[in-house]
Amino acid sequence: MRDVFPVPGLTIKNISKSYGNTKVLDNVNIQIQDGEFGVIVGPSGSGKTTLLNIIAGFVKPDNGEIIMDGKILNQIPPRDRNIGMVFQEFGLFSHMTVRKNISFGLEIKKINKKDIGKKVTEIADTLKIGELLDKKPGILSGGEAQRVATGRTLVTNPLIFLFDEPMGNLDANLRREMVAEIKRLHLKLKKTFIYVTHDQEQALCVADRIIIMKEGRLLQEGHPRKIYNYPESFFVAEFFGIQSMNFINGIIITQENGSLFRGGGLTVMLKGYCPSEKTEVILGIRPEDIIIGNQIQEDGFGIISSLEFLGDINQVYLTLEQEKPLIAIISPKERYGLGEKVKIKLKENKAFLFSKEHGGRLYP
Amino acid sequence: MLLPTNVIILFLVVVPTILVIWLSLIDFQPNIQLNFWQSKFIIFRNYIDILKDKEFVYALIRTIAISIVCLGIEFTIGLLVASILSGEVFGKKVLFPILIIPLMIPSIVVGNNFWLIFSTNGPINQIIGKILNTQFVVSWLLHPQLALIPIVLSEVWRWYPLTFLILFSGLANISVSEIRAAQIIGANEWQIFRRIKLPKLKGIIAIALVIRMMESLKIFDTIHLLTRGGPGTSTQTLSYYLFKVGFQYSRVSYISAGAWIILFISIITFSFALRGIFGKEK
Amino acid sequence: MSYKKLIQKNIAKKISINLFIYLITVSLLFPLFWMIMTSFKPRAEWASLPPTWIPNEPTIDNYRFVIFGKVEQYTKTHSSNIIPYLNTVFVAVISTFIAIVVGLFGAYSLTRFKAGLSKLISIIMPRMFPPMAMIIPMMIFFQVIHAIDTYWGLIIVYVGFTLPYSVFMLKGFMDSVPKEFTEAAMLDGLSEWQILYKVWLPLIKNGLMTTALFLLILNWTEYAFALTLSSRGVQTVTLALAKLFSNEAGASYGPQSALGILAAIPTIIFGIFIHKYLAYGFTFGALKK
Repeated sequence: MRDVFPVPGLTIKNISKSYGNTKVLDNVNIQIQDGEFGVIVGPSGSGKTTLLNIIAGFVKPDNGEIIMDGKILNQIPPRDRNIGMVFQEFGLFSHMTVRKNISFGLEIKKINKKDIGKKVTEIADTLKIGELLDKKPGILSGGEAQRVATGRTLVTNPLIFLFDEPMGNLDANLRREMVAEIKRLHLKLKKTFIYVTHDQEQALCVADRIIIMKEGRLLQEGHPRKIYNYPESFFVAEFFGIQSMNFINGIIITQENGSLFRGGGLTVMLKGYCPSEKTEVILGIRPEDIIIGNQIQEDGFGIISSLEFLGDINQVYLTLEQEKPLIAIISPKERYGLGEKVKIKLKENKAFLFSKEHGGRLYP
Repeated sequence: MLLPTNVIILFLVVVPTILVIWLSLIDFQPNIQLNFWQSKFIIFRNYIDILKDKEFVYALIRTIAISIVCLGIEFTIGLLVASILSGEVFGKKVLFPILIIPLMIPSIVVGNNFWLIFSTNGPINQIIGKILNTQFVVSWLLHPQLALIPIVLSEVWRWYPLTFLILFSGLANISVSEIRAAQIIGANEWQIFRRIKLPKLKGIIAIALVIRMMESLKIFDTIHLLTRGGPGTSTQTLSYYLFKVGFQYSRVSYISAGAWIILFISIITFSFALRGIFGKEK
Repeated sequence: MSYKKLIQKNIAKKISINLFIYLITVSLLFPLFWMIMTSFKPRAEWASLPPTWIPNEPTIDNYRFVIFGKVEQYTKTHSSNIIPYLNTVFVAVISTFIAIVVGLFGAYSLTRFKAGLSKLISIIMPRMFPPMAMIIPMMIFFQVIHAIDTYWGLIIVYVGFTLPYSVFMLKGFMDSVPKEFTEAAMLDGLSEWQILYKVWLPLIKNGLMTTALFLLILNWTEYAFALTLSSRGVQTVTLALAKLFSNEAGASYGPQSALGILAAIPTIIFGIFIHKYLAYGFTFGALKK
């Protein structure tokens, strides 16, 4: 059942921040909708954590505003912003028990003991940390600590939840599990979540909206599917996807109704792409979009240099006229031998072209 | 492995310590005889005598009282300034060195300075006179009770930067994440201070207290410069008493016994205090 | 609370805190101000009534007097203070350095091997002893080992008496470091010395500097032992100061303040130099990454 009050989203407007001569955030504009699970992704140094700290109110931006529910938050101190945050280092109060850590938020609001007890139990049940209540943070495992940190934020019923790379200290399996838990929490609470990570896998997994940042700038944002299928730049294309995209350097030769890409020994026809001049480009194609065989109309040839059996798919390494081999995914039914020369065709309309100069997407 | 180095140096303290024990057990008065190994052994008579000496006892009580007052003020100022300076203050980098300066000035200089300030022709009388709109002439340092004020102020001024520094270091060691977490949960400055910072500072505060208390009990330079223990014996502290009796009356053994009594009392008090703060350790 | 009021409240709070701290600083500066002003006052204004806050005729004669020893107006002469000054620098700095290094080892072994309360007390004990009572025995002892009036004699005494503080304070700072950091280092298989050097030192940097400052000040301003254990040979600046304050020098407030300021300057410089270490932006996080 939805709350009577609308759950507010967050508007990040023209935010810039520099430390000395380093520009950490450069005119960032993001709109997170009410109740959305927004994920800010990017390599380290892209300014994600700084942005989160600005949203929370720990850092003052040089320019721009943070707006929540129509109100400009800039001059409001963190404690009055009604935001919850899970920190990268968790920041659990090391001198208090888990129970006290969680009840702290209620105690400072002078809520009576019985109600506090109830709420703590409730949260402990939700996050399954009931057994940890009387322990001290020092002896908790990474996953446990993270749950306690999350529990601590739930207590004050904030309007927006911020997560700053909370999975950094956990191992891979635990990470997947915890991310799923956070997603479940989001579905249950229906509040706005803003999650910062450098792990694109996590992002693609849970986000309603992905925001990609690099070196302080916003590169692209949108639904995960859109990001995956329509990366706007070389960087974005390279960053996402469980299997990395293949990239081939080459040039464009214009023709009548389109153009030809030539590179790596392949010649690919691109309908409807008519650049004004010869451009140096990078062609991107995902492993699952490469067809190899002998009865196809080929774009080029390749020699199988390696075969990997991954269970339900086979991974094939094809050498072309370039250093890095192409990686293609084929079904287990197709059998090839090492050193075999095969025909390669790129699936129609699945190739991307990126400018070699500025990395922006040129096609489609 | 690493302790032997300590032992060697402490040895240098042990030998004189033994000497002092010996001294306290004999009747050595340098103005009567020069070679101490020829003095008579009178074992504990010195101890008993000194405990019966009213002047000694009064000096003891007075010293403890002065120390407590000084420490109280020092810690209050130190904590206050350390807290404020840990936050956002305009011109922090300039204020910080300025506030520390009193610590760098030798005690005797500070004492001398406060002597000037509180002298009959000094600025304090002048200021008070202006406020009260009359001629205000009080000989602070010649007044049995009031003389304690310049003494306390002198000590506090000289030493508050130490507590400030120690507490400031302690505060800075507190993890930023914990403070931010508390902030975003909704705690105000006072709540953060009382429930996060203060508990974490307990250990550091205890150490600072012990160190300052020990030094404070030995207060000498200031007394010597400001009042010479007077008028009469009204501002006489333990160290001053020992000095007077030991050097001026040459009753060295007597004061050795006194020193041991002081040490004994100190050890007991500090043991209890430290145990209370740190809990029982193996 | 309404939005506007929230902002106003915060601004008011910020202003009052700033005001408060500046008021405190100014009142705390007052004695220093007085001392500086006095050091520039000519003889006539030293104890004038009413006292002058800013000298009407400022002069640097006081400084010339204490540095070089002779100034025409002052009838009493006084030897130059440059040598005692340098002596103090030498003795204080070296003593502090040794005390810190040895103290570090001691504190480390205490922390690592979980020393009990009794050990702590026994280390602190020497400091509880009133120096007054130690002086005569020390004098005798030193005469026996021919350490009177020597540099190393004084250094040894200073180290011996500041060592307890060194160990005590450093241990206190070491105790406040969370276990995870050292456990990680131990798991990585570092040797004891490496752990001390690479892990502990950076973590307690600010505590170390605070302790060093404290010891330096103790050594620098030490009076009782310098008085008894050295005379002509190794004069320290505190002795020089004492001479000025004594009756033979008369009521020479001006030079007293001047020398006082000069005596304070090195420690002030040291303090300013290390104040960067005294806890600006100390982050555990840096080590984790």
